[in-house]
Amino acid sequence: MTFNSNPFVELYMTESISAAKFVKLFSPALLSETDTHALFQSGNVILSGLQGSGKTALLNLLRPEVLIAYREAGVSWPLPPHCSKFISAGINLSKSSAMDFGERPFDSSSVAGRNHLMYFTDFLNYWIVEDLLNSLEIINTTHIPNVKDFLGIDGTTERLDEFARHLSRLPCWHGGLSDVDTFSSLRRSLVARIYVYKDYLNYNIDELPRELRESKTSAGDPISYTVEALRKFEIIPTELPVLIRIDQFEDLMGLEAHAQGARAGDFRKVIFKMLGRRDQRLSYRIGARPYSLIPDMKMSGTEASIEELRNFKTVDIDGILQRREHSIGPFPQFAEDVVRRRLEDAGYVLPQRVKSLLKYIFGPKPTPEERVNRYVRSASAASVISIEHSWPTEVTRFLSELATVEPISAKLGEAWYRQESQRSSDAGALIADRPWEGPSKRWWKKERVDHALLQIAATRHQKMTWSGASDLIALSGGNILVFLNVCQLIWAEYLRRIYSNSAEVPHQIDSIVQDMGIQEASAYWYRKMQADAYGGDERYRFVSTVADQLRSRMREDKNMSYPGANGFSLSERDLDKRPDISHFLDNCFQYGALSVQRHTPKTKSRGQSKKWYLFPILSPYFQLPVVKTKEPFYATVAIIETWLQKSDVTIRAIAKPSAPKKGRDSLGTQLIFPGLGEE
Amino acid sequence: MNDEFRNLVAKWINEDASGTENIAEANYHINYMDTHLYDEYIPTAGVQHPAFQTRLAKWVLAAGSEHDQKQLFKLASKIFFVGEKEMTALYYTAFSKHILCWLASSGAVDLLSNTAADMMQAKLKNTLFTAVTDSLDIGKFLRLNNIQADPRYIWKQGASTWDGAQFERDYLKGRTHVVLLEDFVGSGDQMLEAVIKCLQLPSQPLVLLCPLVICWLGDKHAREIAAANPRMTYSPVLTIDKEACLTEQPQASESHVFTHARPVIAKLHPRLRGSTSDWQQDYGPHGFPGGRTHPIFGKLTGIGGLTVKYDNCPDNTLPILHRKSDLWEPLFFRQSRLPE
Amino acid sequence: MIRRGFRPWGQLHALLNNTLLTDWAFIGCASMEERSTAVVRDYRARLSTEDRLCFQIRDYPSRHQAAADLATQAHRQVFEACGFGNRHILEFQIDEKAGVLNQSIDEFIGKCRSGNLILDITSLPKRYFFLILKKVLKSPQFINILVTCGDPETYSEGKLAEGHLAWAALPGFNGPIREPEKKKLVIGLGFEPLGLPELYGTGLFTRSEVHFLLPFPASPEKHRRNWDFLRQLIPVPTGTDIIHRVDASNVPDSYLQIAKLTDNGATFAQLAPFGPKGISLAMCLYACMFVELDELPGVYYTQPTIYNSEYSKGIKVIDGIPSINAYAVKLAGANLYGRDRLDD
Repeated sequence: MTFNSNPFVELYMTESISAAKFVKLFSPALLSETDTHALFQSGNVILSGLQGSGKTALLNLLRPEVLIAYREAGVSWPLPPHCSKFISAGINLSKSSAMDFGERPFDSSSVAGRNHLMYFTDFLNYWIVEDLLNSLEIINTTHIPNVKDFLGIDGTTERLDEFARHLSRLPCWHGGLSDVDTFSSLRRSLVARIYVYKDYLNYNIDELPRELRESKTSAGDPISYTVEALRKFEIIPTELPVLIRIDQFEDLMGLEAHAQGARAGDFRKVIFKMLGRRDQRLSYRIGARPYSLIPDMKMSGTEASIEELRNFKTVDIDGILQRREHSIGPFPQFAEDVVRRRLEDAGYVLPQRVKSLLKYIFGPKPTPEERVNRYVRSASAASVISIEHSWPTEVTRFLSELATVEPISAKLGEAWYRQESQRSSDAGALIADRPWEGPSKRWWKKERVDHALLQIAATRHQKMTWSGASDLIALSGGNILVFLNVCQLIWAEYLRRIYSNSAEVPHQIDSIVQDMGIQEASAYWYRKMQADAYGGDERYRFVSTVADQLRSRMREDKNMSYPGANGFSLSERDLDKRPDISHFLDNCFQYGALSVQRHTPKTKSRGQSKKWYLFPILSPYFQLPVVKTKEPFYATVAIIETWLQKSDVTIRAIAKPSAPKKGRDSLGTQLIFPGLGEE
Repeated sequence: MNDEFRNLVAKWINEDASGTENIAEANYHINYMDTHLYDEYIPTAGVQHPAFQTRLAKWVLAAGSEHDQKQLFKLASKIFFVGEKEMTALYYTAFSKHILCWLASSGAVDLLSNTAADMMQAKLKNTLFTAVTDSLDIGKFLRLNNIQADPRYIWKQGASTWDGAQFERDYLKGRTHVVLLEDFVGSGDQMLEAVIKCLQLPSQPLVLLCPLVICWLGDKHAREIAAANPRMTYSPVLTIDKEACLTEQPQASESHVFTHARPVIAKLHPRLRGSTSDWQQDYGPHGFPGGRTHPIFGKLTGIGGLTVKYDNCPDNTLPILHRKSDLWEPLFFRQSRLPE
Repeated sequence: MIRRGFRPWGQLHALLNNTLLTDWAFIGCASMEERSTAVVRDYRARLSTEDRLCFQIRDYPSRHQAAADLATQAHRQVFEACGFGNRHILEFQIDEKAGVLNQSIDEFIGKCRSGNLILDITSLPKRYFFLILKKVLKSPQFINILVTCGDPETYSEGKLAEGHLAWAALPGFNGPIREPEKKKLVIGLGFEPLGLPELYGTGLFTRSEVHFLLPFPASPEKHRRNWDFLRQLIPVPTGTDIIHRVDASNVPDSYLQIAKLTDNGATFAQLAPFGPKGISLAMCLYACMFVELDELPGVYYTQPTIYNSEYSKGIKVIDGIPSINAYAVKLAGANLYGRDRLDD
């Protein structure tokens, strides 16, 4: 093992590796959050999270191969006892052909075309049942001891054959499974039917066989009966949860949004019909990006809305990981654990008795004074402040001299003087006391330090710099993929400078090294935005416009009256009037371009509002602070429209959503903004 | 030194807040190419040469002023590195595209007929494969493309004892097609010598000139010769346009990197000469064939190339990249055949 | 020797001028690119007068639309001047349902009398030409098929395409129910990463051994853009023996490279046809050679919905003749890219 390899070189390790490797690298830190346990227990769950939030890694725990890998490796199963046993099956909507159901008509008379939904439903049923039996077989036939016993699975050949015969004769199949007398022939029949669909959707055959057309099944029925039969024949214990995963759900939304003729929500409604069955026999798991749920969900064929608590729970990974007002959230601990595992796997010797490995490697955040020294050389320090000709000489002299020794204080002093001189004529006389450094201005100063750094860097034509463990955590925005990417690039820069193949973990990597890695990561994530589907290019341009606008405002705000203007706010009232803009901004959040929070502005007349910031990792590229302080910039719809126009964004007209039904609105709203906390 | 250099690059990136100089992208690109390709460079593979990052640090820092250092750094991001795998791809393409298309068109072969394969095979048998110099590994070319061919001829090696009739007798042996291959052509002097000899052969074979990589100057010359000789077909695999070179004269839409680097390489050129100034292959800051006069094409200018081949740097690549003297350490040291 | 399994290709004029085959049916596309007209304009006399199909495809609304529509209309007029009537021209949307495309191809094939077909993919989106080629290769109607692709003078230096849809299998190329453990993902590199970086994040290609086809030869500028594409996917390299250089216009060699990576199809493949059309065509031909559904490579792509109205300019001319690459994919009824020919 050479130690000049980058332990973070494969970003997506937990999502694209073998089960054996997964065992080593998966961090159970996320599982310490009890909210995530719902994923592994009975009850329908929608698992919401941005790409890279850790969503897929959690869903991977549902795979039977992963349980087997843990047993084989002798590593204890990371789930707590009350949610450690289950059997699961699933379908990936993108890879399975499910997405193709909207592309080809299923009969020559197809007009309104609801037939495609029935075939879609039938296909889902067969696929999920087949996958469930496949999972069962994997567990049943593994040579790794204590897997079957752990789950209580008992699948003898006789029992399985009996189960197969019983299941195939159930009316839910409408005769679709004939000639089944063994478990093997049951599996073959299921596969054969799926392949008929695939053949049809791959344009290998021109029509579906009559026997298939005449034996379509109803949403969820065959799955439920299969589970019931497995329990009836004691192949699985009665209490063992059966969890059905449906992945890439958000792509279904995109498909519907762009497919001609498909009513918005058509395919999702089939899934919601399954969820809405309130079937005690099994539970569903839907993986989705935030905001991929239609505001007014209806079950396929009915007008009833789904009530969250009775039908499904939302587990919002981003919400769980992110910082709240009065707590830092679990993300730092998660990140620590991930780094520790990566370094150990790469063969590094970890330092003993350190409280925080991240602080050990990346050090503390530089003080504002340390940062400003990177922007300013003493000879040019006076230029960090901007003097008005009308100012008294003593003010000018004081600030200029102060700038040469304490540039930040001088800059804050400038802002203080600008504000104060508008209120009082005594400001000049007070300046020598540096009131902005006093206890009464403690918060005033704290809110403006980053603003001062921005302005100083801009004056010196320098980029703002970043380093330290807390900067890394802040820039990651609670997203483990971003965090790993930043580590990867910092490490790459670090390896370019070292000469020895030491196995020791570096202590406090130079801040310049860290900054280079962070800047590269920021540029990478910005460029990557273009690669996102469904409007990535437009979001890319929009974010650039927004960032430029906000940065300009912050630069030109010499009074530092609006230190929080690295974000913008819109009232919900205004958003309601413009669903198209609202939708576009939702998309920006959904695809990790912007972060969003509800807030109550100080200006009461604006009413309840939402505020947006750049997704944190983009901040270095656009040279905006990450910290959210005080009030954001109060935007209007007209301003947003201007920004959209500047960005060449063509947003689609969207009808105003219908008024929420009484008694059900709060839940629908909650589903739209999962995980959003109030400030 | 690496730290000093890397910190300098960090400083430049931070100073380029608006991104107009593209320093950050240049940095990312250079690092990426280093990781993927630059280790392949044979002349510096030995233990006596430091790793690329160290060579880069030394090379840039040697420029003197910070402004000049920055221009050199940016220039390094424009290097076109032709690795071993790239060369292999060129060998493949030369045969399967350029040579076969030429053979098919030269005899009006019906490629869609069921006898096409046999006809093409017959044409191949009737073709002599040659190399302009031993820089092109003719044996490798033939083996890679599974061509049974004997004998193999290298024009430069036969130049001093050239006898057309003997060539026809010992090498051409009645074949009607001759392919002239070369791996890298700058101005094309050697290439054109070979072509002219070939065209003067009594049996008047059809001639294909197929350089794998050719610079704009050689390309210009080759086209002129081809235009004047109907028996000759010129089919380069990859042409390096003028826009990709740091030419002596500024070009209308050239990269600003070149515009800013031009005075720097001129300023540094005396250091390339070294303290003894006895550099025999000094063609000026823009490399070969700067300052020379060709009997047919007249006064020539330096090509200003930025191509680095994995096995050696061509002499028409900017000498600032490859020339070693007692006053200058190159980025990609060139091992010359001739005394320097 | 000629490469195993001789697969003729070259400039269209070289293939057509020396053949006795005539009366070629034609499928192509009128677009904002001038090169989309090259085949019909210069080979009009070779084409069947009736067996013709031209797609005119409309992108999603964007800032490019007005200019794109204008240019497309002008090029449609070239088709019309070459004898294409309204009955020969189908106006579709960029994300037209594949079932509709399938039906139009079936109808075209059903009406065809000619046994020779030129399929011009110059301006056909991949979502279209993959399905079309699969169908025409399979159809007994055509015993000789040439696929053509014209070269432009220049490509735009700006963004070529945007607004791509999410990852999906191309119509007709969805993979098996369950992929084997051992598999390879082969990605064609180009200028625009489109949705490719996302592929790692979705977990869609778990446990695939990833390989890249890097177009080379390429000019220094294009070469750099291709490397930038790769850097966008993998910012810190994981290995250097996974990048394979292939000539973008050399479809037979690209096809053989894919076959080599997959041990002539013995190893399951997933394909991502980004980058030049030549490499994409090779991937299509490779995927088409499988019959059994459980072997069929999944071909995944993120179809752009908006193309730069100045995507390309002009038609490249070599020695006075427009440069149109032509590839014989079926001759005398035999699929030259069939699996049985890999051991020839």
